[in-house]
Amino acid sequence: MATNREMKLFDVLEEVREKEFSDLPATLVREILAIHVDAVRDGATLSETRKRIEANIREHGASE
Amino acid sequence: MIEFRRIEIENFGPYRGINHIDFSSRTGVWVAYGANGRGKTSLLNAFRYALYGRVEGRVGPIPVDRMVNEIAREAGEATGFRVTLDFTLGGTEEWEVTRTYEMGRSPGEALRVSKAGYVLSREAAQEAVAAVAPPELSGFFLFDAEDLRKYEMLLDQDGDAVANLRAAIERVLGIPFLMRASASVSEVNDQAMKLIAEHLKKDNHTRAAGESLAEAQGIKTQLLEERQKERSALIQLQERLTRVEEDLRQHQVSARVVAKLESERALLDQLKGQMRTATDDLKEVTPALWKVVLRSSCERVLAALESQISPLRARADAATASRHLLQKLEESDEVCPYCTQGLDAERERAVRDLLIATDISAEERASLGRLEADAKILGAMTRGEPSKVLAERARRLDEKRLDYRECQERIDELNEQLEAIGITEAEVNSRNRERNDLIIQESNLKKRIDEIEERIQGQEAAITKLRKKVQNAPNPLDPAVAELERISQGLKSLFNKTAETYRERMRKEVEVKAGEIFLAIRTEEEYKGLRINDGYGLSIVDEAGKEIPNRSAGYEHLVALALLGALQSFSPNRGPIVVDSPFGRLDPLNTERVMKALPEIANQAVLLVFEGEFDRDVAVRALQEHLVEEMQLKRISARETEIAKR
Repeated sequence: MATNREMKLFDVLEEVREKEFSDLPATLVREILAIHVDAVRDGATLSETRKRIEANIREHGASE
Repeated sequence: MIEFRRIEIENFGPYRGINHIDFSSRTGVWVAYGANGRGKTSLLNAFRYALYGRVEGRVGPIPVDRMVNEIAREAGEATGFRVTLDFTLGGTEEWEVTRTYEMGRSPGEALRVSKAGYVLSREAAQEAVAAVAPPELSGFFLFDAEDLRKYEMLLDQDGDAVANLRAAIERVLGIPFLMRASASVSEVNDQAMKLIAEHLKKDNHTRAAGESLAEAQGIKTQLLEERQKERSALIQLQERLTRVEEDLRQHQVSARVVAKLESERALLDQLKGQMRTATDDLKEVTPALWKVVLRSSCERVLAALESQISPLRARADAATASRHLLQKLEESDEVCPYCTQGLDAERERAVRDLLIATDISAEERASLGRLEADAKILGAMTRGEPSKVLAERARRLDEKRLDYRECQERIDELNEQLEAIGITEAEVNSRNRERNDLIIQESNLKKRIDEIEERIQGQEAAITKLRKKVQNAPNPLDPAVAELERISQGLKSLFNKTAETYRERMRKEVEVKAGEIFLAIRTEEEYKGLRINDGYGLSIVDEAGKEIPNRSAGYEHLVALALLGALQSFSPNRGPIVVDSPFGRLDPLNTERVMKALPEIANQAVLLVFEGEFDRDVAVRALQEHLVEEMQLKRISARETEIAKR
C-alpha cells in the first residue's frame, strides 16, 4: 500500500511529466519510480535496478 | 507506521535481571521518572540497541561490553545482556527484535528477528530491521533533548555533520527515490550510448565518430568507476577517522572521569570528618544511656519513696510550725501574737499537745533526710529524654555512613570506567597525529572526487556534442536502441526536474507543518511562525515576516521539536519517539505547551525525565487522557535500578 509520501512523489512526477515531458509514457515513468521505491524497501543494488529498468524500457519500446 | 508493544531488557546497564515496559495503547505518552544516574540514558539506549545495535553517551558511542550489568556480572549471574523489542508495523504485522550480547563470544552480538510469526535468517534480519528503522534516521526518533541543538546548524553551517543531517531529512521526505531513479536511467543511457557507438563504427562514414564516441564513453565509464572507488575509500577513511576521534573523545571522557574522581574523593574526606563528628555526638549521649534502661524502675522506687516521705514531711512541717508558735507564745505575755486575744492555760496546753503529737523523733528526721536525698537522686535520673536525643544522633550517623558508602561506590565505579577507557597520554598524542593525517587525506580525497565529478560532467558534454554530430547519420539506428536512447535521456531529465520540484514543494510543506506545531508550543506571542531555508534550517519570524535573531536555547529546542514533528508527519515509518530529559531547557509554560502538542508530534512518546523536570500536576492536566502510564526508575543500589510502576 502506497504511503502518503509515495502518493505525493507520484503526483509530482506525473505533474512534471505532463507539463514538460509529455512524450514520455506515463505508465513507464510510474513503473520506473515504483521499481526504485521497491528497491529501497527490498535493499536492491543499483545495478540490479538498472537491469530491471533497461528491460522495462525495451519492453515498452517493443509494445509500442 | 511502527507501534511499540513491549520492551524487555535483561542485565542491561543498571537494570539487573529482567525489566520491561508494556505499551498497552497504540497512542499516548509514557513517562519514566528517574534521578541522575538511575538509568534514563540506558533505557533510551536499550531501544537504540534493539533497533540499531549501538549505544551512545553524551559524547559519542559507548563500547557495548560496558553495558553488561556489573552486579549481575560480579555475582556470576550474567556474562552478557539482552534487549527484546516487540512492535507492530502498519498496524497488523507483528515483529519481535531480540539483540543479545555475550562477552567473550565472537561476534559478541546476535540478532534474532521474527516477522509475522516467521524467524528471518541472520542476513535478512539485519536488512529487514534496517529497512524498517533506518539507522541514519535514528536521531529523529530516539534522542537526548540536548542533541536538538544540532538542528540549528542547518541554518548557516556546512560540513559533513550538517550534510549528513540534510541527507537524513531528504531521506525522510523521499527525495533519494528520485535521485536513485535518475542515476539508474543515466546508466541505461550510457548503455544506449555504447550500443550507438558500436553501430556507428560499423559504417565507414561514421566509423571515426563512432570510435570517438566509444572512447569518450569508455573514459566516462572509467571515471565513474574511479569515482566509485574513491567514494568507497572515503567511506573507509571516514570510518577510521571516526574510530580515532572516538578514542580521543574517550580520552576527554577519562579527563572528565579523573576530575569527577577527585571531587568524589574530596567529598569522601568531608564525609569521613562528618562521620567522626556524628560518632562523637553519639558518644556524648551514650553515658546517659543506662538512664533509659532504668527509668521505669527508678520511677517505681521514687513513687514508693514519695509515699514514705509525704506523711513524715507533713508531720515535720507541722511540728516546726507548732514549735515556732510556742516560742512566740512564750515571748508574748499570755497574748496571741497573731490574733492578740488572751491565752489561757487551757489553750496553751492544746498547742503544746499538738506539738507533741506532730513532732518527729530524731531517727524519723534522719530517715526523712535519707529518703529525701534518695528521691532527689532518683528524680534527676527520671528527668529529660535521652532516648530521643540518642535516636536522632544515631540516625544522623547512619545517614553519614550511607552517604559515605554511596560515595565510595561511585569512586569504585569511576575507577572501573577509567580502567575500561585504558588510553595513555602517549597514545593520545599518536592518535592526534593520526587524526591530523586522516583529515588531510580526507580533504585530498574529497578534492579528488570533486575533480572526477568535473571531468565526468566534461565528458558528458563531450558525448552530447559527439552524438549531435552524428544525429543524422545515413545508416539508421536499430529502432530499439534509438528508443532506449530517447527514453533514457528523457527520463533522466524528468527525474532530475521532478526531484527539484518535489524538494521545493516538500520544503514548503515542512515549513507549514513545523510552523503549525511551533505556534502550538511557543509562548511568545510576537513569534508568528517559522521560515525554512534551502538547507532545511528554520528561523523564527515575527508578524512582519522579519527573522528573530539570537534565539534562546529554549527556543532552539522548540524549533527543533517542531521540525521533528513535521518530519514525523511526512515519514512513512512514522513511529514512536523516545526522548531523554525532554524539558531540561524549557520553562514551565513551554513545557506545558509541548506536553499538549506531544500527540501531534508522535503517536507514542516515551519521556525519560528527571525528578523536578516539570510540575507533575501540570503535566497530568496537559496530557489528560493521553498519559498512559507513569513509571519510576527505582534505585536498588548505586549500580542497580528497577523499572517500577508509579
